Amino acid sequence: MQDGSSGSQDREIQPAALLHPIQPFMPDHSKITLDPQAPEGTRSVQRTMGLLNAFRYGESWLPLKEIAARVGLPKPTAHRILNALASTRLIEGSADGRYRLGSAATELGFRASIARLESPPRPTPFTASTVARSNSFDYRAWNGAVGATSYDATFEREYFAVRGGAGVLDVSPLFLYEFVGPEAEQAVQRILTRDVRRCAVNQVMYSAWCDDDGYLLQDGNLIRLAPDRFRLSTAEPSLRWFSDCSFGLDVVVHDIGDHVAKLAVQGPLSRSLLQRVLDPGSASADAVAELGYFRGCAAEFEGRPLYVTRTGFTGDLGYELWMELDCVESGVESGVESGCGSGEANHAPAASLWEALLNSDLGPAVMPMGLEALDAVRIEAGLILIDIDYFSSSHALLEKRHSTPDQAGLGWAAKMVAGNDFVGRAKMSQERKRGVTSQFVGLEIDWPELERAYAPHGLRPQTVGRPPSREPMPIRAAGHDASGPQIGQVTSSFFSPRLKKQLCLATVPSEHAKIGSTVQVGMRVEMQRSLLSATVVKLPFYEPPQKKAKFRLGSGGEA
Amino acid sequence: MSRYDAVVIGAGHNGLINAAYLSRGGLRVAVVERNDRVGGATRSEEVFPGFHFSVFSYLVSLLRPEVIHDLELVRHGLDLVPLESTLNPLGGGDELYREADPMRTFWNVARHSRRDAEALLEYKTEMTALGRLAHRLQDLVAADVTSTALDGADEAASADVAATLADIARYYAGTPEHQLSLLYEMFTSSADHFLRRWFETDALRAALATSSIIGSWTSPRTPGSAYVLLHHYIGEVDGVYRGWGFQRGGTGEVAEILARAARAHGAEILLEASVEKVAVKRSESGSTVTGVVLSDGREIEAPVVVSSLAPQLTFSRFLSEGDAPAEVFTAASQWNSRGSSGKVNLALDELPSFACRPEPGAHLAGGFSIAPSVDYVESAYDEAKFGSYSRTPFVDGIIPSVIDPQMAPTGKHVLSCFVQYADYELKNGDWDQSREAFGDAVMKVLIEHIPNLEHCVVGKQVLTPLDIERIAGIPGGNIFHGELRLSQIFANRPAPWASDYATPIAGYYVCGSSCHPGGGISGGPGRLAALRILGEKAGSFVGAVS
Repeated sequence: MQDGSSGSQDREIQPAALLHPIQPFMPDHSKITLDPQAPEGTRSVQRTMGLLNAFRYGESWLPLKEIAARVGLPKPTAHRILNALASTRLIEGSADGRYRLGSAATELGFRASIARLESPPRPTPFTASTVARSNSFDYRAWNGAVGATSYDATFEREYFAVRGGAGVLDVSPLFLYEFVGPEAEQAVQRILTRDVRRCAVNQVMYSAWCDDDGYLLQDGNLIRLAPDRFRLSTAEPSLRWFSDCSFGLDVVVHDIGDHVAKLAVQGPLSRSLLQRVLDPGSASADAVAELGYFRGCAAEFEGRPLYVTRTGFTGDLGYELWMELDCVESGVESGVESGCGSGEANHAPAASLWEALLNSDLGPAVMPMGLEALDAVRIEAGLILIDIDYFSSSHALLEKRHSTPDQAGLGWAAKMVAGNDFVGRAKMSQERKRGVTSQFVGLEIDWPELERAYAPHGLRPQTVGRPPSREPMPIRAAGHDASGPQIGQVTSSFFSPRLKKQLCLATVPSEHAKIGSTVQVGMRVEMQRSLLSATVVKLPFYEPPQKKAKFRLGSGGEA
Repeated sequence: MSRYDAVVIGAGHNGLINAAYLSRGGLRVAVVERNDRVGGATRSEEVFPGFHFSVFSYLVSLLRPEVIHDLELVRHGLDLVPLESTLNPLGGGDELYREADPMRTFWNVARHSRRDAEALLEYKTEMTALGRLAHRLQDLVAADVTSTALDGADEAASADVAATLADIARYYAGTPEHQLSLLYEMFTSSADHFLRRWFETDALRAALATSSIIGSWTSPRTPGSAYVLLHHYIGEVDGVYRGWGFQRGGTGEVAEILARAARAHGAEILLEASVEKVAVKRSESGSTVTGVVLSDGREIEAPVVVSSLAPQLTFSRFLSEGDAPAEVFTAASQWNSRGSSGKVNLALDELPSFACRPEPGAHLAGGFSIAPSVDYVESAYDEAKFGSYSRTPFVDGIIPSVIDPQMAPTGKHVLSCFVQYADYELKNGDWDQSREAFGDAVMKVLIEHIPNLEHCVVGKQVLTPLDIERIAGIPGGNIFHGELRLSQIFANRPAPWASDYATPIAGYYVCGSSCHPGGGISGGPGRLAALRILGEKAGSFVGAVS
């Protein structure tokens, strides 16, 4: 590019689209030669493909004249076909007469690339939609599917969107089970530590569940849809455990995860957003607007039923949308309970829900949100994450990896009231009598100390602006040096740009778990462990008023 | 008559920070503010129904992390969202786009010059290192190192100066030589010349050089302009050297937060309390402050009075001849705070669409800057420097409603433009007559790069240097309270005899942007002045605060 001699000051700079640094090695298929002998149908397809291929790698909007010239078609012909393609969304037209490849082309390309993989990740109902929005193509494995890590180069815009506007997150890789039958309540009660008899219809209960030894298996949300119908969302596959636990009861457990599109809409503007998108004016839209914390209701999107719960993993005002999908194949009975057999669920309505949420008039205040931003806000919210902050007893290899709900900060969800007989209760009860040895706490690292640890390197704390860390860090008692015994561990940590604090989620012995007590965290500072003072503080670190606020119709309520 | 331990004049961000620190140190403090609200130049206003603007200061970069932690500003509502990118439209559909991801920026710059793209990576590292070096001066009380106190005649003063010099020596020991030489060059060189060391692309030099002229009566080719470049690189968000932050609700919210912090520590803020004069008792041994007299006749007695205003007010307006040595009045009248910038705030009924990037995207959440070439900016300076304003001005803008939807009604937007140059002292006519024409010149430039502004502007507020003077109370309308150039920084800010915040009048202190370490929403002067005052009370000089 540079010949080194000419002053580039006067160099002509070409428009962005024509000077992309990466020249693709893909062949150019845009020039077409029409065979006059071929039937009109074939020639028509050739013209169409020529027009689609006129768009080269890295190019976006092109004027009609340029496209027609590339393909070798008269402008009116190109114009006619492009407009026909625009009606199928394969091409998108702009108000000023330019064209680019459209969203249907993205979806098609995505489906084609997945089809060519030897072992493709399972697409969720929103995967194609998220790929179309991703600027980073940064995905991580999640339950055999993939979830966007972040849509951008950094997670920060998404973080600030969910804290100040709204974030939309595909949580479809979560598992979802439905308990149906006259004894559904007994089955759920047997499994969960919470007293589900107190769970009203259209109420959601967050609960833990344990194995026979009273060790934590998982945590998740239970939704009661009807007196005899519950849904339980889980992080890990649980059909076997739930079926086993239901032994002898008149209940059927279905795995309905594949046939329900699950979407989290979180943040102070989430309510406004849903009011705009979920068929405004319908009775159900009003119900959503007034939905209480940990309550659910039926709603509609474009006339299609879905279920909305006021729940989430962000510690802010937020909702989760559960949309049941039909099967693609005709002739197969649709619906969740029957399942689709080997048939695939029709993802189209889910995709259009996604588009509606992200194209509302709230504009850039609403962003698709990746798992990094989610991790950041859930730490601020003091929410525990399986496999990070605790091990499920189903795959804890060592005795010390197990935790009881008490140790994981979920003791409040295991009340030993009469009649609430759940799996593991007896052991848990014994354990509780002996006293809980360790507890889940929030720690705040002393900022001046963190600054002092970095000062010899001439640096400011380098945790700022970084995504949350899942690197475990040892905890030592206050007053000990690095040779002192390790008494606990930090499992998640994050510098909160909102709170301007270095936050940690940790497990410490009960005698160190009181609010205000201090411990030392062994943090890695420029490749060395530095012991930094940290204070036990109340969880959640961040709790805005709108999280649990009561909303009445017409009230703004947004922060 | 009421009595306080200290009176702070002016409830701008420095005055408030000063008051908060003094109250935190146990003093009974009153803040007197001429306006009916706190903020000074840190002010948000609903200019058109539903449209909220950060009227003057529009970004927070330099707010010291110490201030955030010491005053628990987060608890009081501080919520800074980083501004991640800058788009420079270059005309003809071309652009220069710097993003949060350095490697994406690399490729964006590489379209213009691959060599410059690599240089930009080096430049950022080097500037961050230089920023760190300069940063150390920011936390230092600038004892007058030019004074003769080192001769030992005044033991306390000698100790102050010696301590400052020792701190500087300690800080800079072990600094690589090339960095010191670069630092020296920054203080003396022009921004354009300095940037030529790295970059061959004119548009990139122009984009980077805009940091060197913001708020200053200087151009990219004026010697000394490189320092302002550095001043902007000292900026921190969350204690990290990097971009700029935007306060949710506008910068006026920052002042409200500081006011809450000050009140939480017990400070009283008296609004619509305009100071007529500072009361001084003269005696053989010199003058001593006794309080302030308000224009409505109220008198407030206090052994400590701290002014956060510019020297012209602090000294010339509030003191009477004889209260202080004549050199004080001379220096105040010599202080250069001639304004060079204006603002245009626009209410829009749709998102701006750039000619070079018509689609909505992440760039709208960042800033944009209209400075397509160094010549462009230099010509803008030429057009203004003989007592006028630029016909084709440099414009630095943000769209706060993209980051914070509360700033405008749903689906509508606010666009805030910082404009340069506009001479405070117009040669022909006055600003009240020229305001419209100035606004039109800005609109013309904006529409060239953002065509849809032609039809989507529903409200326009044009603010001239005169308006900045009238509303924010900064004589001359200079956004930094005074030019940031070698002659007016460190021990010379505002003058050698007041560089450590104490004036020749016992008990009378300064704490505004016209003091070290200077302008921007840093809070540095307010904080350091308070530590100095508290230290004096405690009988010890607080020098470097680590």
